[in-house]
Parts: sequence; C-alpha cells; structure tokens
Amino acid sequence: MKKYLQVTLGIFTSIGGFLEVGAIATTAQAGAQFGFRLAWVLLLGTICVIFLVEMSGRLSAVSKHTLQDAMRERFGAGFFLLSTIPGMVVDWLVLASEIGGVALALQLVTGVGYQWWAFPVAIAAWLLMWKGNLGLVENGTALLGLVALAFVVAAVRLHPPLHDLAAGLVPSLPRSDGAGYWFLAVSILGALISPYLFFFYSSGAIEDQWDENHIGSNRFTAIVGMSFGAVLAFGVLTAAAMVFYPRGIQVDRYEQVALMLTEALGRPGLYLFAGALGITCFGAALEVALGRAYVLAQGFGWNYTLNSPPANSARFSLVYTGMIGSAAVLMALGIDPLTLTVFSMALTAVTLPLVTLPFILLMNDRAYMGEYRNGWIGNVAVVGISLLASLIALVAIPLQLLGG
Amino acid sequence: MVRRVPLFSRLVLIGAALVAGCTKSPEARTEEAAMRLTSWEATARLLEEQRARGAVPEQFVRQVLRAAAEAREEATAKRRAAGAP
Repeated sequence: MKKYLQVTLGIFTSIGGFLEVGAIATTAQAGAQFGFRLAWVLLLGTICVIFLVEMSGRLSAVSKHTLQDAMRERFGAGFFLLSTIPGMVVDWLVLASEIGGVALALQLVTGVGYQWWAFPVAIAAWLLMWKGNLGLVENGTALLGLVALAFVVAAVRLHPPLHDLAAGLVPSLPRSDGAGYWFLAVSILGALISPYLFFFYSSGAIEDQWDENHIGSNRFTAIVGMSFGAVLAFGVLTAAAMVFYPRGIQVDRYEQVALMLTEALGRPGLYLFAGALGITCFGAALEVALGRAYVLAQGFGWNYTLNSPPANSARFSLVYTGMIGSAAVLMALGIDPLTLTVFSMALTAVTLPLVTLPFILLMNDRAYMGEYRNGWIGNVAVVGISLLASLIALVAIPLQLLGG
Repeated sequence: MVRRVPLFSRLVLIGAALVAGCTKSPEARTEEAAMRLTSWEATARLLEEQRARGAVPEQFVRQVLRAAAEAREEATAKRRAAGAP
C-alpha cells in the first residue's frame, strides 16, 4: 500500500515538475501564434523527458549516486565546474521566471503589481524549504498543482478539431516568421527538458533511499507522470490555439493568457488560471532552487538534506537561500516575466548537451549501471533530441534577438 | 594557388551571413509593430465580449486594458523608430 502511495505521489510530483511557467508561457505563445503546428515539439520533448527522468531515477537506484555526484566522480572536477556554471546562470533566470509566475498569479487576483509580490513569494518559498521537509515540498505543491487540470477542461469545452490537432503532431515547416517558429520550438523543448528536474528527481531518489526494487515503479512514474504533464501542456496549447489563433491575438503578456480560460470557463477561469500558474510555478521555484543546491552540495561534497535542521547542512541551505533571494531581486526590478521566461527556456535548450551527453555516457557505464545500462533507443532519442534542440537554439536565439 | 580558409573563420563567415540575411528591415519591423497593435485590438475586443457576458471581474479588465495601453505605446514607438509615419 505504501509503495502505491509513493508511486501516486511520484506521479503528482512529476506533473508539478513538467508543467510550470515555462511550459505554460511557451505553449500558450505557440498555440496563439501558430495554432496546432508546434504540437509535434511538445510530443518530441515529452518523449525525451520521459527517458531522462526514468534514467535519473534508475541511476540513483542502481549506483546509489545522484546524477551530479556521479558526473563529478566520472568526469572530474574541471568538467563538473564547466557544466555547472552555465547551468547555474540559466537556472537562476528560470528561478526568477518561476517567482515571476507566482507574482503574476497574485497580481491577477489582487490587482497589485507583480513586482511587489516578488519578495513575499521568495520568503514563502524559502520558509517552506527552511522549515519543511522533502516530502512536504514534493507532495504538497504537486497535489495542489492538480488545479492545472483546468487547462484540459477548458480545451475540451472549446471543442478543438481533432484532425488539426493530430496533423500538428507531424513535424512541419513554418509558412511565415521562421525565426519566431524555431525560437518557440526550442523554448518549448527547453521548458520541458529542464535539467533541474533530473537533478531534483535524482537527489530525491537518494534521499528516499531507492534501490533496484524501485526500478519498476520509477519507470511507471516517469511514463505516467510525464505523459499526464504533457496532457496538461497540450491543454494549454489547444486552448490558446482555439481562442487566440483565429482572432490573431499574439501572447505578449500573461494577462492575455488568462483570457483563454475565462473564454471557456467564465469567471472561475480567471481564478483557476491564477491558481494553476501560481501553484505550479511555486513548486517549480522550490525544485529549481533545491536542484541547484543539491548540485553544488553533491559536487563539492557538502552535507545536504532537507530532512534535518538547516544547521546540519549550512552550505546547502546557503545556496538555495542566495539563489532565491537574488532571483527575487531580478523580478522586483520589474523585468517582464513573460519575456524572461521564454528567453531563459531557449537558453536552457542551448545548455542541454552539457548535461545530457555526459548523462548518457554514465548510463552506459558498466561500473555505475551494471546490468541496468541503457538500451539503444533511449540513447538515440536523448542524444538526438538534445543536440537538435541545442543547435536550433544556437541559431534561433540570435535571429530572434536581432529581429527584436 | 587557392588559400584555404580555416574552419573557424568559415563558420564565423557563415554565421555572419546568416545573421545579416535574417536581420529585419525597417519595413519588416513596421509590419511587426502593426501586427502587435492588431493583436492588442483583438485582445480588447475579446475582453469586451467576455465583460459583456460577466465572465471577467472588473479588476481584471482594468489590468488587461492597462497592459494593452502599454503595449500600444510600445508598438507605436517602434513603428516611429522604424521610420513609419
């Protein structure tokens, strides 16, 4: 019974990790600007993230190493730093975006500008990490995040043409605005395939003392949880494609995104949107801050755990405190949260190979994985998709910047 | 004798050509700003429809209208900067 409960909670956690500010912003923009034509990117990203999440859980269960710990041991401190510094900068921007998402949700409900909410949100997140434990952080926000099902309900109520939706699952070239199309494509991939998710998942597996007996439930959690998260993201894309695309509305601000739920669900739609945005972003903010604290603590051999008082892992606690405090400053300065979100997701795509390629090497290393090494399908899917995302991002980001 | 161009220099040249070829002209920028204006006009129409149905609270309507006004100002400034009347 306890194991079933763990799997169920694991699935909810995966949903929380999947759908957050990046996925909501990028899929809403994609649906508004290109209808269903970027649905294939969502499918591609989901496949890749299922493989990666399953691998990070399997690595920890079999080798008893977290992903970052194994990377440092296998590839050395120099490589660890090389991959950690760019990742840390990108995650800091992602964290600011997540805080911005929660602050925006509060603005929508109260009318008070998002800048004013940045510090209260950061303090609430910090208190939860400081006073709470891993179970509370993982499961509390994930269960509340089920409010995001509102996107699927809205999408169904808008009666999308299933033929068009299915056609969108086949890769296609843009008819116009190629730079915008590819920039959004890599932003979606960056939002879905976020390295912090694997770091956090892998660290959670070690904190929960997984072993080989957890391999089956890990696989089930990765497939079902990520697929369920993908259904929610498809809900966002579909609702945007049905409400905004035919009217020629491009999503420039989060205030516009709320209109797709109010169109389908009326007045409660606004509160459901604010709830879904706020809770999923709050959960993701905790995961990003903790994910990076885990990376540094495990890389440098510091104590780390959320399950004992912060004084027992002072440097670990200092990292997430510093990350969340400084990211809140960025939001309080009034940077546009939507622009920052989409841009940081595209940057995430650029840095993907720094994590995924050594990760694949580890997963094929007999010394770490023994008989549980990767199959060729997982290797090809992850290497192919992450290299593709990175290459497109390297071209699309400068083009998008130059295009204004 | 043809002098070989080093790989790095070739990549830089290709990148520069791509970027130069894809940089938006003033006309394209004007068109983009016009599209943004149209997009916000459509947003305002959708908002009015929803307001008439009582689907959105007044406090939210004010937020969207404020965002629309800011976006319109920004788009108009971009059109002017691109040389449009």
